[in-house]
Amino acid sequence: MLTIAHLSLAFGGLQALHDVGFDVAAGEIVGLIGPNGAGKTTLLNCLSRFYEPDTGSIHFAGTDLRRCKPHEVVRLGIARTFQNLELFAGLSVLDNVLVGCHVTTALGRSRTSLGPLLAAGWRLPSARQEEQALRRWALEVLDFLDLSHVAAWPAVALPYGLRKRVELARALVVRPRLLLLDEPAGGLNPQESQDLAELLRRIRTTFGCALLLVEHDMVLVMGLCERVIVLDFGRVIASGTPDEVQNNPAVIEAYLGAPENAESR
Amino acid sequence: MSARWQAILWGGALVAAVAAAFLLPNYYLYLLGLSGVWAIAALGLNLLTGYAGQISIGHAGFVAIGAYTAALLQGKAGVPFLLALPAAGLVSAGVGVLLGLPALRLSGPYLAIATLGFVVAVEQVFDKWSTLTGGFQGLKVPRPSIGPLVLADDRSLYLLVVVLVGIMTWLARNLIQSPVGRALLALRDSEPAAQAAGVSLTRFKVLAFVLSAFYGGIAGALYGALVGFISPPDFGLTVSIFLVSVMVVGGLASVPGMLVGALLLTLFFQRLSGLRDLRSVLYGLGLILVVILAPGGLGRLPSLCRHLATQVRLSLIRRFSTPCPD
Repeated sequence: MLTIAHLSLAFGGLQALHDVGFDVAAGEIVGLIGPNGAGKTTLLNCLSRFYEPDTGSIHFAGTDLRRCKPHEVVRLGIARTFQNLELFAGLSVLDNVLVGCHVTTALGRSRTSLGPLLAAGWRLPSARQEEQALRRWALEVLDFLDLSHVAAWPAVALPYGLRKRVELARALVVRPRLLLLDEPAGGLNPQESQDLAELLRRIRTTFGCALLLVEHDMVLVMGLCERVIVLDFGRVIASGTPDEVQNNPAVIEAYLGAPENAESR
Repeated sequence: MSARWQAILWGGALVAAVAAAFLLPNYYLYLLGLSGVWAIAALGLNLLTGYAGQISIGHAGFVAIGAYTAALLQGKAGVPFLLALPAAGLVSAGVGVLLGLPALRLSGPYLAIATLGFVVAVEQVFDKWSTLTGGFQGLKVPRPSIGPLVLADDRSLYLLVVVLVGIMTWLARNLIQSPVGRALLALRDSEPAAQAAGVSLTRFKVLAFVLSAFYGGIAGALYGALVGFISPPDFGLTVSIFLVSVMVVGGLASVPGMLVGALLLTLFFQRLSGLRDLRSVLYGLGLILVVILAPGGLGRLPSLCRHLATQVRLSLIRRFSTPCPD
């Protein structure tokens, strides 16, 4: 479904991505791991179109993603969360999730915005009905993520773990086909991260979407992902099942450094 | 605040505004009418700055464009007021597109300076284009007429302002509580997340400029109708700054705050004009006090009071309850 090929991106002299290529199939859970600075988040930002790669191609379900603007990506069915939470601070939890519905509204679908703008201004029945349906669906998603009790809270007033789940709700509410998660377990304790793995599995079965997650929590990645891709200095150094990757010497070297006897030889 | 309480408050405010037309002397009706004009302009500025997060200190430029459009349409082309009013809004909105497109590349202080340039330029254009606008001598604006009804006295002009403030407030509230308002707030709070949710930065930043310019244009047309005379300095930089202070005093991203702020500051300016320089000192002092004591603006005073009451209650509980052993 997602096909990345020969992707390269340099920031000045720093080669952040070098000839990166891999696929994600529909409904698959793929982990993207690697030491800090390996280019994981850079890759996600290429998919979100925040960064323009120098060369290479990204295709999603037959569409050339490199022709899309950042706000068009979600229309194709790719939603994401952010490593350093990007919630709308002035909005309630419910409103945050409702922003996530933007592309499904008449406003988001309209070419000129003019019709939906007038309908909203004059509170025409069409606008009211749409708003009600939207709220019902958003509350359903909040309920699915055990967030309905904080729906009216300002998003910034929530503890960190709940805020991460609000981001998840905001991404899920468009029923994405591919969900990009940037360190979903960052800052969680082992118990919470175990619950997260359970939740992500439940999301896959309920919403039928593929997951591509950037993560440092190896217990989570190895327990959850069907396939793992390892980046180091912007290159894919290994990919395969969690078992294959864990025993791959290149991966061990990237994480732990080369064994001493190898150097002395 | 619950929806019912809000409805009661809005209804009460409307009744009071209409009752005032029959209770207050003409001079105060004129002042209230003027407050209404600035309230409409501030509602527009608030959509741009308070909601979409785009700083503008050029908003008086849109008011000027609206005022001159309506005055010229009525005076030179004989267009009736009810057509000239929306035309003023639309022409101003058109200029809003022209300003919004280059403003896409600017943010923060750079955008503020660009909008400052806009208001200075607009004032100069209306000043120098004297064959059309009468230059610094100004332009007389015909009294508005609705069908056979000519609104010539202070009371009927005031009631016209009340009706328009009502409509524009209602429109603003509806927009804010719709996907439009949420998209504007989203791009204010996090541009990457807004884009990831499918909100086009280009479209909604320009839309914010267009909406706020439309409000400015309507306010300008109404200003001309109310005062009966317009000249370029009526819409200079000081007016822009005045609108920004109305917005800050009323509270960014608060709709009722714009009405309260415009009312307070207009009355303050007009009533204390006898104090001359002292007025500016008091004005500055007042602004500082509001920013320190009610940082969310006066429109948020109710929730601020609730918060303070909770704090007092908590500190009382802490003081008078028996300390628990650690």
